[in-house]
Amino acid sequence: MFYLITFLVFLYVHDNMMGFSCCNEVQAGMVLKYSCDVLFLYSLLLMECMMCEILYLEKEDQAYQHQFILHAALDVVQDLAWTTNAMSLKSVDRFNELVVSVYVTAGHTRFMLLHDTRTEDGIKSFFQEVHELYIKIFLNPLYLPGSRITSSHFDTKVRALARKYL
Amino acid sequence: MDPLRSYLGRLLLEDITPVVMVLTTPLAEAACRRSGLSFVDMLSPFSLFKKIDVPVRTASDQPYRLQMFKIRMVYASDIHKQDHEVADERIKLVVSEANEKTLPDLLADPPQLEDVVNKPEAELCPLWTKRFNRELIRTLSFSDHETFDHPVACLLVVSSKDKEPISKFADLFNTNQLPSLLNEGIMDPQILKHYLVLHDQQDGPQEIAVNILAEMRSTLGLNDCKLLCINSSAQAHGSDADNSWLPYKAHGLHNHEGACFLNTDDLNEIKDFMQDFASNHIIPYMEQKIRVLNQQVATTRKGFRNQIKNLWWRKRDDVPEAANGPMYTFTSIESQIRVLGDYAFMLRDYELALSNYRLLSTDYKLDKAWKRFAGVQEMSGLCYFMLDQSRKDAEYCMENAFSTYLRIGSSGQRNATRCGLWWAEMLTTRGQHREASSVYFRISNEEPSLHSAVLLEQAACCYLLSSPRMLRKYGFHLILAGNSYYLSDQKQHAVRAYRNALFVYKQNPWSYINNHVHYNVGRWYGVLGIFDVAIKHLLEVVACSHQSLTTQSMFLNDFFHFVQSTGKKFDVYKLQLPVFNMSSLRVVHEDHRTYASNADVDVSESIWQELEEEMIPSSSVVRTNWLDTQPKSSPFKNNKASVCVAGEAVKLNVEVKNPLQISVNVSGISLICQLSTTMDASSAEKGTLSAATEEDIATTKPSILTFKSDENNFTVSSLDIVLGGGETKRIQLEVTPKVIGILKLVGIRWTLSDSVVGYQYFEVSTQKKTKKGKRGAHRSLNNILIVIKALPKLTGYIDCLPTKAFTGDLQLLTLNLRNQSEHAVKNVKMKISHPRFVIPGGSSDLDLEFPQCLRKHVQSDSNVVSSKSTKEKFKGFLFAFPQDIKIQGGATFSWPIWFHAATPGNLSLYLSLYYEMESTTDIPYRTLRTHYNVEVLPSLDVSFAVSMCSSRLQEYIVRMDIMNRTLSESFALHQLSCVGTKWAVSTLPSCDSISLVETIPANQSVSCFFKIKDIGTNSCAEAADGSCGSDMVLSPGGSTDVFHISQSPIADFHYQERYHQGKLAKGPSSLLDFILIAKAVAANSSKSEQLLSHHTCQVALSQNPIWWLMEGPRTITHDFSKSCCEANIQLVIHNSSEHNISLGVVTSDGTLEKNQTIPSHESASGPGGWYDVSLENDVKAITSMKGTHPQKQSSESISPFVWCSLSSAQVDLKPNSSAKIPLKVCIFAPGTYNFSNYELHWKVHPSEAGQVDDNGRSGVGQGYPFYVTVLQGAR
Repeated sequence: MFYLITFLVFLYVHDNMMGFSCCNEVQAGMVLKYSCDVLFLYSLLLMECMMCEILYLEKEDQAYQHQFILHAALDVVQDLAWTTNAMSLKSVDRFNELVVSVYVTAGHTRFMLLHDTRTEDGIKSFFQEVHELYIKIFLNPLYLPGSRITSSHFDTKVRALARKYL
Repeated sequence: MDPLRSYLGRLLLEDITPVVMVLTTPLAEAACRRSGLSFVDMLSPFSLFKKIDVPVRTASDQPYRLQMFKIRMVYASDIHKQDHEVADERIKLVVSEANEKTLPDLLADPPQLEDVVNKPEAELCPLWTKRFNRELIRTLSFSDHETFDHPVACLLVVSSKDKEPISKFADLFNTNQLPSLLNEGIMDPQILKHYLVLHDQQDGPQEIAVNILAEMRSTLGLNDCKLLCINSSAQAHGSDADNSWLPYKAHGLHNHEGACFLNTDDLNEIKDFMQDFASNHIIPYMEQKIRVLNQQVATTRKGFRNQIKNLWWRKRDDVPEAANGPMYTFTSIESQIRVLGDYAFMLRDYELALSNYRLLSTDYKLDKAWKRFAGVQEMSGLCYFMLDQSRKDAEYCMENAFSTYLRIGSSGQRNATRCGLWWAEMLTTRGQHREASSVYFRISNEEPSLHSAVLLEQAACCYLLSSPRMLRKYGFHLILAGNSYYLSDQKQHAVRAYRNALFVYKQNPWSYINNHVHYNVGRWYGVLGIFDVAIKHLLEVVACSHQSLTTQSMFLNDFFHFVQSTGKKFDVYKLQLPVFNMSSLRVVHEDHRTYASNADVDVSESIWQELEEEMIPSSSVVRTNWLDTQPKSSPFKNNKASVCVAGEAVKLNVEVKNPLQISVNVSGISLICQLSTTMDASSAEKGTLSAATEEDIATTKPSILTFKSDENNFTVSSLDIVLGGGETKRIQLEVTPKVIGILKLVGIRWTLSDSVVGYQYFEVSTQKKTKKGKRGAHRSLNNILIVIKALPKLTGYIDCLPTKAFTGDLQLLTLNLRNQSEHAVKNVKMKISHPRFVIPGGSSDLDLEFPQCLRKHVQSDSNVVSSKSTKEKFKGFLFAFPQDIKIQGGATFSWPIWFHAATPGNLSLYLSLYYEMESTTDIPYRTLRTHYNVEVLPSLDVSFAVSMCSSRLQEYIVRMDIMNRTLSESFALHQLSCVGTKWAVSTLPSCDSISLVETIPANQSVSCFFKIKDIGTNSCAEAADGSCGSDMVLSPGGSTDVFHISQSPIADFHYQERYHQGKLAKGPSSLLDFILIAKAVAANSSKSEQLLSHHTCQVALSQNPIWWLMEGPRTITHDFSKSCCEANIQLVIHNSSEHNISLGVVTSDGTLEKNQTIPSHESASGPGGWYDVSLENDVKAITSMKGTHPQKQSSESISPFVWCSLSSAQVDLKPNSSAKIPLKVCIFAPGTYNFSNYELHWKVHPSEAGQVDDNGRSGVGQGYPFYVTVLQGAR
């Protein structure tokens, strides 16, 4: 069973004296991925953009709690993402019974899944298929990178995948 | 970092110190009380020696020096395990004490990222949490499995007033009063005893005490007895006493109230006593004990033999596992090792301590005394830490201890907490903040909510300290802490925790988090009674659209509750409920342009301008005119400002959206306006110029008090609406200025559910206007209006203009105008965008009865349409009302309007009315703009096909196809008319019963045939009797029902139709227009008669200028035995053009291909020849006559007839004249023949009168079929 999936993208914003210059998140992600030893990672301000959020359990009284857990797990992902070449980071954080699994794409979009069972393989293949779906969304020329994914088709597809793998 | 200098190091140095048990007599205690202190309180400031500098030698031979030392003075009655509830109460006190300090903090702004980052590390976590931690650890004092809390020495105090002090000492150390630890045999009762006589100087001279001391020394021992004199100061509050206490105040002497009789000498005496006690008694005693115990341990446990023995002994003695393991008395070797370890720890010989702890841990493990094992592990962990050796080992030991404590259940829970606290401190000291925070988090789970809250807060701080900073974790743990605080009823702390986390969640897209945080902060502030801040936070969540209905209503209810609690109407700048869509804002003001309805305002200005182009005087001229008349022209030059008229409402359209699913009640939506009267020009100037700066003030310091509605100058409308869940409404607000001046629309205010007043200012960016150019200027809000003097104003509408009509629908409507002012208007003009649909009638039409007025019974001669007058009005119909029409003030005025739905589709009809003022005013004219949308549905499709009639001159056959395109309506055909006097339409002679097809039901189509005749040239007799006029009645009603098509309005509409349709079909051919009038068959008779006129214009006719016709006998009887038959036929040729035409007839024999263009010669001398026709041929000819005429011709090589005696090849024809050309044909055999193989070649000679286009100059016409049957006559 899973509780919440979010798709996050980070826009890297350089906090220099000139003001804010926002760069394309894909480019920024690539630059950082390959030359992170050159750039000072923590001198960058991170701006989160939540692109999609799929609630599976419609318990609203817990929705905020789930968000809190995922949000806090971002801190862990932030460090972990640079230590490995794998996109799937497995379970990065946990809070009581709830486990957070994360998948980071090359463009540094983070798929975060909050769940309580530990079927690693299922989660991994789930993430891979969701990644494909996400790429399809991304290929859409009308989709502005970093903006919210409003496609209902995407939503139903992800839910179907969740039923299949989780 | 030196572990001794770290916080944990100092903590251990202060907390794990020798305990001195204090036993006092009541009288001694009373002497101390005189100064407001207990005995322990009095001594404790002096129990910390910062520079004691004593040499210590423990097990090893090498002595070392001890710099800092502390002893703990505790009453014997306090040496017992603490009651949980009492301990928790004490801890709660610590937390609530801090509570009061946070209150002023809560009123300040919540901390920002920069504040937190720039804070020094020590201040990140509130200081009182350290105190809390110590209190938490202290709850475990004097536990039986640890010995560092066991008293090392005993201080017996007797007052000099006591009788028989020596026996008192014996009484004091009575076993009944001693703590249970000593009684139960857990610790050795043989401890160091020290005897003290306390002498109060105010009770008498010192001699008594000295005597007692001497007596004591003789009985109890020379060194162990001391005398202490206190209260030497004669009067309370000695000035020197205050100063001397100062350095010790920090050590817990806060309860220093009332009289204090201690002076500097007393203090020095106490200090000396303590120094002596520590360095000369306690430390040597401990040294000695360590050495003794070490020796003992070495003999029993050290060495290979002892270890084997120990193992064997333990295995055999298989004790059953108890909850606390086996009971160890002070005589057991395990207890002794533990005492040895703890004493070594206290004297900072950590190596010795560690080796003993390690030794002990295996024993306890084997004995399954888990609690003791954990305690030993804990201590060895601390030893590792203090030695700063193996971090790994230290952590391993702490983790081991922690998990062991957790494993043994509830009895070890608090121990686990203590162990966790030490562990976390240890990790913090080493900079492992992340691990520390996870330890804090783990122990927080084991504690009640209040403790866990404090622990979680510390965990959060650790996340903040970790590198990199884990802000999100920090926020999350603060929220958890806040939640726990709230559960344990510490609201202020809860608010503080949430508030500190606010910056983490600022401007992030996690909506549920934001809502939760703001809602709870707001709610708790509200509970604390700080309503303004509460409302500020609740405002953030009021407009949450993503939450469920119940959550939304909960948010809203709490919000309103707090707002009502404030007891006043709350003004909120930029209240998010409901949402005013500022981009949809539109100001509608009427200067010279007035609008009939609100919908008209939305029509693009360019459409109006295009429409009014010809009607209104050119704008520049107007502007100079009224500028010149204006004495104060300065404000008007400012082209930013628009003009509105006093007494007329300025409207403002804006969209309002309710983001919630709950319906909200919004009342009193009104505009905030300012009107500065321009009594002096300078102030007005200032008003407009300072607009921008005022705006800034308004947005930065929002206060609506300055914008109170000024009833004298203007009135604003107030609107109450109820917005359903998720509803969006477009509302219109009005302000009516009453005096001349400059009106500024500042913002909107509204009241939400009668309790919250929201207001919002319009944001006008002047820079945008200048930068973005035309488009920007168009979109930007024009909120400064110049109010000018009242003007007359017309309002008007077209009465019952249908919104839906069938194509061809013809109606008579009225235009109603009303002048609402007192002054008259004149020179009224009107312009219509689609004259094809709407035409103004004449003044006489108003009283007419429709549709009878169109009927022909009024025989007016003026049936010729004055087409010239309307010729230039295709594009926009400019209609000037008669000059004498003046609409007086308050009067109404009506004018007829004809409506004709010309083509199907959606139509936007624009009407603009121009009028001038009777009196001279600021604006000389105004326009009234109206706009209607009409949907025209398809009804009848009418098409005509005209072909020349071959049998008659100047006659055509017309096929009319009518298709009913409606779904349900039926139409009755009424009348078909040809436009113009030149044509007459009549039924075909064969079928007079056309009137049978009187109605066409839905989706049916009908074709009818008619004959039309050109009656323009030769006024034949038929024209006179009227049976074949230009109109033909199709309905059975008779000729009296005929509509007059050449009269207005049908003629006018027809003219328009002709123009529009003519655009499509343009050709040189002579054209014919038809008007079909139909009536809708009403299902019920109550409906008034509906008339439809369909105009089909410019139906192409044959373009030949000449007509020709064969005339001759159709049947000839001839005896072919005698001669060949000669048939005399004649060709009648008519020139219908206006020019002279010369033409020639070319006949051809035999096979003449249709497209053969070579003119053959005269066929008079054609070879011809005899031709024998058998009867069979004859039959064949007749049978195949029907359609195989060309085949027949081609099959035969020689024509059976020849043309002969062509009299003249060339004929000249005058305009509108006829000529007859006789022709003769020789036929050689009986049969039926088609004499069509001739051609007419003509050439037009243009006369001076007109021009003929090139295509019509010359032409060739094929002959018409003309069948002649020749029979064999009787001989």
